[in-house]
Amino acid sequence: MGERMSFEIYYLDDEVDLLEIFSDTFSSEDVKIKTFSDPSLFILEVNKNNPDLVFMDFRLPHITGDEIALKLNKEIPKAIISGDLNLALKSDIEDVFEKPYDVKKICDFINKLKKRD
Amino acid sequence: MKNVLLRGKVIFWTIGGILLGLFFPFFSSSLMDRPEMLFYVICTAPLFLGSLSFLVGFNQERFLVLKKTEDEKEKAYGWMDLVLKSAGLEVWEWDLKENIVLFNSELKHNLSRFDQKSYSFPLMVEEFIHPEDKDEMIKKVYDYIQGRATEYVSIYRMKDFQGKWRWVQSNGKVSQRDKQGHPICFLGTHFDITERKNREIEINEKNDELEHLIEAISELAIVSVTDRKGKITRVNKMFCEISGYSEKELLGQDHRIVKSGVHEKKMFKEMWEKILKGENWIGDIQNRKKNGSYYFVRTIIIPLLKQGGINSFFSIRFDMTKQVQLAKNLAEAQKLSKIGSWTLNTNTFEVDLSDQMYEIFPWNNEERKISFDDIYSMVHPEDQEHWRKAIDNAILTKKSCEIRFRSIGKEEIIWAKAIIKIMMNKEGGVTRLYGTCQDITEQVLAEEEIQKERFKTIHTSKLASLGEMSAGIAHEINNPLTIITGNLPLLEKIKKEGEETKFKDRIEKMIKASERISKIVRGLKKLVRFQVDVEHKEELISSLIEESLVICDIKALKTDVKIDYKIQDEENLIVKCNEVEIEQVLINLINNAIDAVEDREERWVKINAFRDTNTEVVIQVVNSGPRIEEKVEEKIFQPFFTTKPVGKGTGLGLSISKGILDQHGASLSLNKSFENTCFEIRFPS
Repeated sequence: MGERMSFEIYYLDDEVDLLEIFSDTFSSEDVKIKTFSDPSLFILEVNKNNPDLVFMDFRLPHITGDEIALKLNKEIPKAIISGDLNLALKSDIEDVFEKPYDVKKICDFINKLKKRD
Repeated sequence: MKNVLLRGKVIFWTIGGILLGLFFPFFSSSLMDRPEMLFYVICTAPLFLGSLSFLVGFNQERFLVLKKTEDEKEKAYGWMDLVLKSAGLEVWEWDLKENIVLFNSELKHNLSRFDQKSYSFPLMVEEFIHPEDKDEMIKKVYDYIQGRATEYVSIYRMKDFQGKWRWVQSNGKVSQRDKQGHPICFLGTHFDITERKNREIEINEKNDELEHLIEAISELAIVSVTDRKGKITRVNKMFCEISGYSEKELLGQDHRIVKSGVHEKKMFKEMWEKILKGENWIGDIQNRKKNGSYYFVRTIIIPLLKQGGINSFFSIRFDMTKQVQLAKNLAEAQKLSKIGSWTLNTNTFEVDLSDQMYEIFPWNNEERKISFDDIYSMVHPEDQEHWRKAIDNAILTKKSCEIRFRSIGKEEIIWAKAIIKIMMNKEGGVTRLYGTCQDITEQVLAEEEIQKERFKTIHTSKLASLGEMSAGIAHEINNPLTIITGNLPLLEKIKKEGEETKFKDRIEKMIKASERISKIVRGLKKLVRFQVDVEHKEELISSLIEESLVICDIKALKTDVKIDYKIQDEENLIVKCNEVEIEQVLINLINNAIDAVEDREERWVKINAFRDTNTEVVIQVVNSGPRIEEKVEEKIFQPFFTTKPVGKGTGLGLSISKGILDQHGASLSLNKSFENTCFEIRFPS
């Protein structure tokens, strides 16, 4: 991957309105955001394209973000954005953000990962 | 004086004769013719006629004297007869030499029936003395005559002139003795004592009767006899047994020996007043045994009269200790159970109450005499009508019933439960109401407490289900919240860029999101609302179901269970209920339905509400699961029964739901006519 590509973030939430807000809030010249509301499509796309970072909701129809994380490539950094309280996570999750989220905190997190790259 | 008079009469007759002799010649014409004879006649006629008249006068006197003697004798006999008769006396004389007994048979009314004046002693005895008394009489006679006894008194029966036996007392004395001092004449009297003897016999018989009576009663009761002053002269075995004192200890004592000291002096004073008047006294007395314990006796004191005065007191007592104990136990039981008993005469409306009634109701009535109206006035004003109706109904319908009412105490309100029973006469008319009355204040307060507890339990279970759902709820709130907060910073940017449509669209989405939040919060508020006495209001079934679904939708969404509802005649399907409670029931049933189908292929819950043919309002909660097994069915409404895994359910849901519906007069059951699981609620019309 010689050419420096833009930083790619995938976001999964079944609340469609949130997807729009998320991309409107965090998209920039070097941050590209792709959103999903269907978990299976999300898993498929993530494992295919290996984005730089994924954000997932926790409580999803028939599955949790935690469970999805196990199905994703290990090296992809994963974060949860959830309205739930006291999540007990089983998988390797980078960070958890509570809804309603603090935009600055998420920006800082994204920037941290960008630098790591 | 009489003699003077008699002598006067003689002189009178003599002088008269002389005068007649002197005048005689003047009346005789023949003598006038013969003067020579006149001289003789004048000389002799007075003398002759005077002598003749003297004799007449004298004889007259003699005749009078003779007559007088005869009269006096008769009179004397009459007097004597009277004296002897009234004294009941008869004189007898026994000539010991001739062995002949003489009686004063000159008397007209002989005591004994003698047809001759004298009898030989053996014949007399044989004829006139009662065979049973003979031997003793003869012995007494000879004892005296032969000097073995100093006096002779004997009582025996003799035949009287009518042939009846009469009791006589015979007293006698030797009246004459010969030169050697041997008695030759034995003189005495018979004294009629028949009446006295009969009275004595009667008294003895009566005494015997009394004695028998006392003996008979002694077998049954505690018996004592005291003298006039109250000193015990006789006690029976039972008296000794019950009191613990021996006969020896009791005799000579008065009844204070068993006095318990619990009775007022007044009672004993009244008792003495009564028995001294010769009246019987009946009363209940508590006495003390020798060992200090008590016994209760119903006492009857009978004054015994003798010779017109009270001689002694005869007391009969019945041991009432057991009965008193039973009555005490009953009173105690009434006290402990706070149950009193009462009777009401339905004609006079007179009431008779057990002591406990006065304990239950602190009526200000020391004399414990209370009228029906008094009781009525003390019933809580709000309960008076219902109270009066219950009594009137019992009389009218002749059926027993039970009522609960409040009565006003001094400060507090007393809850009472009365059982009313009927007493009828032969004709079937109600004569009396009777029954019990129980203080249920504590029970009612406890029920209220339980009610509160129940609400607390409901509250707890609400919290439990809230906890169960809280994660989801948080998620459901936080999502729309994020829509709002996420859009806020973007709005400015969108506005700057002049994207009008997008701006409007975002605002629209934010409004929707906040509505979502407030709806959920409203639902939550209801879920945790805690009320005890909420008035039942008419509620639309549709609103009850919709409000419940606000909560349940979250779960349904999460578990991908499809919920549908169908309400017939939506605008008119109304029940009077406590909205919060019924929503709680519906939430519980719907949540259970969701849980039941969560892991199934087919996942749906259907709610039907309609009015059935008997105008009952029916709500059915049907889920896609199969009919419930019979084994489970029996237990399904029991508290703490759950088929859910540990930690998932409290097992209280259905039992609480059923409890709530019971309170509404509604039922909760399984409708087995469905192929799937169907819980059915029925509100009475």
